[in-house]
Amino acid sequence: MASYNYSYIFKYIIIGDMGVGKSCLLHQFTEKKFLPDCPHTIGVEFGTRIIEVNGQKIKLQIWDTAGQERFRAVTRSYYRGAAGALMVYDVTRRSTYNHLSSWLTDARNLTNPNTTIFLIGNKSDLESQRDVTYEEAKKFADDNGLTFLEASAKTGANVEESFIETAKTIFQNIQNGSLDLNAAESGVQQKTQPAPAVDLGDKPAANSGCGC
Amino acid sequence: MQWTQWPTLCEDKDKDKDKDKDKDKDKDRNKDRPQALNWITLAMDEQHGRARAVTEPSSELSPEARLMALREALCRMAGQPGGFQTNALRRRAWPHLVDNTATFIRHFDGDFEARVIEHPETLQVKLDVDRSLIHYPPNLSPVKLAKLRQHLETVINAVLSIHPELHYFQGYHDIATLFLLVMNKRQGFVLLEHLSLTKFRDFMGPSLEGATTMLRLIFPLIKQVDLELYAFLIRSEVEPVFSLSCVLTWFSHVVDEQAVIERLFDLFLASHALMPVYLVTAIILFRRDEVLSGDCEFSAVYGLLSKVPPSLPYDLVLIPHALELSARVQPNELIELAGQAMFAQRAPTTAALIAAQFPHKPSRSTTQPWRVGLYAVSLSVLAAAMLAANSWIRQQL
Ligand SMILES: Nc1nc2c(ncn2[C@@H]2O[C@H](COP(=O)(O)OP(=O)(O)O)[C@@H](O)[C@H]2O)c(=O)[nH]1
Ligand SMILES: [Mg+2]
Repeated sequence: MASYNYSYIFKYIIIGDMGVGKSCLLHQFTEKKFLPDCPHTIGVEFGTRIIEVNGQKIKLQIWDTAGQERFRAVTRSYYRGAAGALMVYDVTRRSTYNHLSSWLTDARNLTNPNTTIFLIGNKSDLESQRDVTYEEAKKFADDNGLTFLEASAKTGANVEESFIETAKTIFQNIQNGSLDLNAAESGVQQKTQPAPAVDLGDKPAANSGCGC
Repeated sequence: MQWTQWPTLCEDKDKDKDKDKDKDKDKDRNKDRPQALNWITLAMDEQHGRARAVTEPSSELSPEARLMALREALCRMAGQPGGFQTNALRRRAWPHLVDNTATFIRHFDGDFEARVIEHPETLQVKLDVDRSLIHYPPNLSPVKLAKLRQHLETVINAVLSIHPELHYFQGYHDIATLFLLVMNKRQGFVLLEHLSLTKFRDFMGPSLEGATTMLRLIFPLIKQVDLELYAFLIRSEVEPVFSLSCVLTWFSHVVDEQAVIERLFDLFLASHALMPVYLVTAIILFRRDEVLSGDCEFSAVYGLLSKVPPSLPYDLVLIPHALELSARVQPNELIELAGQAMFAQRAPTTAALIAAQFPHKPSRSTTQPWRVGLYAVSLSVLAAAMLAANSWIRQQL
């Protein structure tokens, strides 16, 4: 049986208009590199990375979706059971910001009520071409109860933070009981015995091998 | 029936034209057939000292029957290692693999560039074209790059303007790119238009269902040849969507080497419309051990199979296997296994093409006259089926 060196799996989706930098954000997060010539996404792509939150190793399973409307029929089925949704717009293209409410509606309708939705204004390195102010987007985020950061897949600024903050929120929701792990579509899987919420130290091997 | 080596009869008068490809506009399509045949023969003599002989049926046959026989020879060649090998030969061979005589397809014969108009996908096409031609060809000068992109945009927009019933999908521009790298602008348009009305048609309907329906043939095909792998895939609950970009773009979006894509296009142009599905399946079967030794879980299998590894042995292993699979479980049989009614309803054009076996599949035996006759019959069946498919598509709009 497989053994695991992580205690949880969190499922994420990345959504937003085409060209806002979703695939670059994923690549920067999983490979720590900017891929300027990243090919456009057809259908759904997949990436993964193990992170640590509160001493717990968590495997993030990240589904990167195509932006073209035509592919939504395919991508929609991947929203189901996501614990986290990263909703991305491009700070240099207002149209991508204007479409956020439609992406948010999709995300709300197709995920469960406890899904953590995180708003990312990408391409913050292109300050001179900025088309959407921080304040404006922050207000949109606050009005809709979203956490918000501006980031850059190019420089890496706030990329780690966006993915990890989302995981922290999900983890909190598990701990305070608002996210029910037994619910079919929580987007979270536990890979070891219910771990004591307190720290497991830095012995990742110790909590592997359950194979459940 | 006598089979003889094909003599080289005429000079390649159009050789210089290739260098200035953009100038030979409307002539290619209606070039009289016998001369076209000789072009191909000559190209092979030049490019292949070791001559892959194309044999010709006796001259008693009508020009149409000779052309049919040529097609058959080309189809065989496309399945052999390396396919047509060189782009000089591809420029001659590819136009013969599409059927310009089929009356059910309303080809546009005039000045296609003059027909370009604004359409709902104009902006999307522009965005995609601006990101094209990055991975290949190597050492493209900025001037050449700008020119190729401009041609690409024109050709795509022409097809979409002339046939407003066709919907653009991202990845279509990858296919068009490859046509333009091999053919001139005019021929590129002709090929793209033809395929958009036939083999790509189900990818270009109002929704993506035609494509996802095709993907649903992959697991039933695996079931026929590898029960253990099939059981594993089903248990993992993975969905065949991981193969979407391979099938939708004929691998042009997933393979980074231009030469490999060209070679795969030889195969797909010469085969029935489901060949990409067979090739995808051959690749999955080739990677079975890798799949079986991983986690039996949706995302693990998806993550593994959605990426096509570089430098796979296409010529030595995968293409022969795909051809063998398609002979063992033939397309119409496969469609039946996966639910005939469902398939015909959701991928009507492909179903029609398969029903008529167009173009005829590469066969290992030499051409027999009855095959030619059968082919002629199958074309009329296809015509009827296409009409049915077209009216189905109109209903959906
Ligand atoms: N300057 C800058 N360019 C970016 C950034 N992220 C992505 N890009 C560029 O934006 C384009 C689209 O990126 P991509 O990740 O494919 O977008 P997607 O369609 O949302 O997946 C690419 O040309 C990237 O090079 C960023 O943070 N800064
Ligand atoms: Mg992308």
